[in-house]
Amino acid sequence: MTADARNVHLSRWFDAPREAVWAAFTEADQLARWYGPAGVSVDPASVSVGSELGGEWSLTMVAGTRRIPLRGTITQIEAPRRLVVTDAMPDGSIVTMTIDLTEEDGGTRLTLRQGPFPSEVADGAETAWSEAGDKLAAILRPTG
Amino acid sequence: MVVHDDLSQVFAALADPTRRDILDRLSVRDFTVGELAAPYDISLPAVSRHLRVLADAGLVTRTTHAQWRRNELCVEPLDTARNWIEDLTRTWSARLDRLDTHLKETI
Repeated sequence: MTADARNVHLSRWFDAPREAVWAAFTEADQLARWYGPAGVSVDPASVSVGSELGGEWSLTMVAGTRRIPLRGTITQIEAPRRLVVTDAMPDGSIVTMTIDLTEEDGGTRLTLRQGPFPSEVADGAETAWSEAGDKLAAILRPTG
Repeated sequence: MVVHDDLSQVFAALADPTRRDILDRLSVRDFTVGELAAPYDISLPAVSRHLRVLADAGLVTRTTHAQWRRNELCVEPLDTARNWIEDLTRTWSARLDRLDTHLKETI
């Protein structure tokens, strides 16, 4: 896994046919079953995934009492190898999730990219930390 | 789990030099609004507004103690913001672990 300043990148191999991995990302009932990370579930009734350009790709995550909606639009779809979903954030910024699936060693290689996170998040981090007072900086854990 | 709008709110809160200075002072001990406002050349209501922005971003907790509100620093959002790429990557990694399990159960 690598990350540049504004995007998250992951690459992982799955012991499953490409069509199965594709279905996991594009079928509502499947997406609801795995999309929440540990401790987070997805409200199955909230999942809406289209199959065409311009279609919706939305769901609501539930973490304790908190509901976190994702509202995306499919901006590229080439089954079963590429899915691009664009999300408009509450602050007006646009974040894109790109999924690429390739057949590899009898299974499927998934490459995922998400971003760009807006400059206030990426650049603002650098400014805030470089200008933070010594005492504040001293109490924070160093990044690994 | 890292959520984009939480991060934006933390960084927006940190974007102001007075608010960064307030956090720096709160990292030593808690303060009342009056104590926080004393060294700044701005009004008490203006300092209150800064504290509200910080509280809304989860960076400061406010407790009522006798008649005065005390303001305390919360480090957790700062750590998350500082490590946001690593945290978001970890969130995705956990998600893909669940995808792996899901695929094994489905096919």
